[in-house]
Amino acid sequence: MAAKQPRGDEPQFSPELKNAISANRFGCFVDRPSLKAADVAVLKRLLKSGRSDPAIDRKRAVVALAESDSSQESTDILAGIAGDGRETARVRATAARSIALMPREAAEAALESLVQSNDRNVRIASAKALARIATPAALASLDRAKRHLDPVLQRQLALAQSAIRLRNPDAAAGKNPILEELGMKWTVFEAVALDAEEARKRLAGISDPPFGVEPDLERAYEMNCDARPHTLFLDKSVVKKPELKRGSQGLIAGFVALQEPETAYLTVRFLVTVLPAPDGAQVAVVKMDGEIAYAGSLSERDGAIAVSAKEVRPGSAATDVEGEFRNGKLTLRLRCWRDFPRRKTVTRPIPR
Amino acid sequence: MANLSVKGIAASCLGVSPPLSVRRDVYGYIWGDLDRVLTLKSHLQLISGTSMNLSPILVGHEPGFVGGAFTAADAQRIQAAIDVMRELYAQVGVGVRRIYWSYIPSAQAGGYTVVDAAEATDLTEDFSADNDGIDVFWVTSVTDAGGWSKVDGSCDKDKKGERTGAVLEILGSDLLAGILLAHEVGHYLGLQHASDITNVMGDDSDGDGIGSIDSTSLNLTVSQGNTMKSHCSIRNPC
Repeated sequence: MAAKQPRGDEPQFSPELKNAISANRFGCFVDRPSLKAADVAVLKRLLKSGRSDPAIDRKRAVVALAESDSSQESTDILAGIAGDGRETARVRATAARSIALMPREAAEAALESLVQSNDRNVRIASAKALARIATPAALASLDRAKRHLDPVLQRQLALAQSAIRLRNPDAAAGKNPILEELGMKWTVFEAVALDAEEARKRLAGISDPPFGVEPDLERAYEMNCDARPHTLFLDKSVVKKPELKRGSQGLIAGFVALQEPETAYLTVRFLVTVLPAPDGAQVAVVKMDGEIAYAGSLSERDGAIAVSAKEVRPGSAATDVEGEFRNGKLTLRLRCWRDFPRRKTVTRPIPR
Repeated sequence: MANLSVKGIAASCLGVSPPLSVRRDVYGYIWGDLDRVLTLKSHLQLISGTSMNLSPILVGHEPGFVGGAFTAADAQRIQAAIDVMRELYAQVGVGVRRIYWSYIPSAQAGGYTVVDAAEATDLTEDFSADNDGIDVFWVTSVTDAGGWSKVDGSCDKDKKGERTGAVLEILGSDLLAGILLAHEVGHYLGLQHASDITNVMGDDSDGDGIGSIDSTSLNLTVSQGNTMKSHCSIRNPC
């Protein structure tokens, strides 16, 4: 027969321990209690017992143990809870994630096993913990675990593998973890200067008035960060006199037009505006709905004007633009990130 | 006093018409049975007055509760929490009018079923419900708190870099889950922590930004009610 275990309202619980594990205290606070050794001993007995007590929040008890005692024994207790199907998903997931706070070797061994748990939340929490602490020893088990998981969880494990390799260059073995494991890639595009005839042809494909910009056909550039061709037209006045400070109201330096696939039709997609700033000028590339798509700066450097801007539109793959305007010639480089979208996804309604 | 016709309020405030189920169409409760705290009369008075709409989102849910992160009991607990919140907000005359239930399937939810504070922000950045309710995301576990919300949250759900909804885990009783919901949505509506454990916004008398709450955190003040009513999420009387 098991020994009688302490209850949440019994005197064996110090006020600090009660406060740390009470089911009646909750909510909007950072839950990181640090308990004394005597309280930790009581807490370990409590958690090992697996007994449910309505006065005790076992998730809070798990967090209290992990924050207070980093040891092999605590690792075993947390791993046991994470693997125990009788515990709630909330408690199991928190236990798995808390193992990251345990001694590395013990934690890694426990998590390598838990990452193959049949409980999805435990797998997720274990993968997150492994990403923070694991050594190359975990790579093989992560590979094994990946084979049986859905793509989203595979990506979580890929982050763990990538982090391991980035922490341990020897384990990378010629791989680029970010590129290969997380599937990220970027491409650098140089803007291509168009000849005047091609520029004229493209300009003719634009039907709407282009905001009063008078394009310099000698200085139009094709810029393709994706499959759709964009053309940058600079205003004649900018090309002739590219000073940074042209009055307090700024200027329209040009526009970027987008060509519809398989047609000669172009539409103005972005307006390139330059605004005076104390240390040079700011550039804002504005969408037709008024949203800022790229923002950056112009600054004088070695007799040229350096251009630097970043994509700021929400929900898009990020693109950086770097370049310079020297002797009437613009060179631009676009660093385009791919396969890294952060789009807002609409949730699915639950029918009544 | 205004005429509190169920049909009239259902049509003008909730956009539903007969045949009506009071429970489903007027209260917005779709999961199992529930002993409602507010009488129908009180509820109709509240939702036809200054009110907010709520958008509960189950992160990692699967229809039929098969293979997802939620059980039927979890969904009923969330529903009971909303009922508790309605009772608490009734003290200051703020109604909870429409309930827009939605979910994120497991395959899309990915690792967002178990989140910390930073991941809670990412979750609200990556997902939103297409409605005018305050998004409240329920996850399996918030590992470093019971819930997170921005104080005076945005009404632009596409706003980047900040939480555009509250993120909560399901606590062990209907009352605690309801107080936590009222607390986090209270933050979203502009309320700071209080210095009184019996207040829904908890006790932060030492001013460290960490608010303690317990099962006695049930009260709201007139001043707090006025703050809530001035938030952009609040709907006019209908």
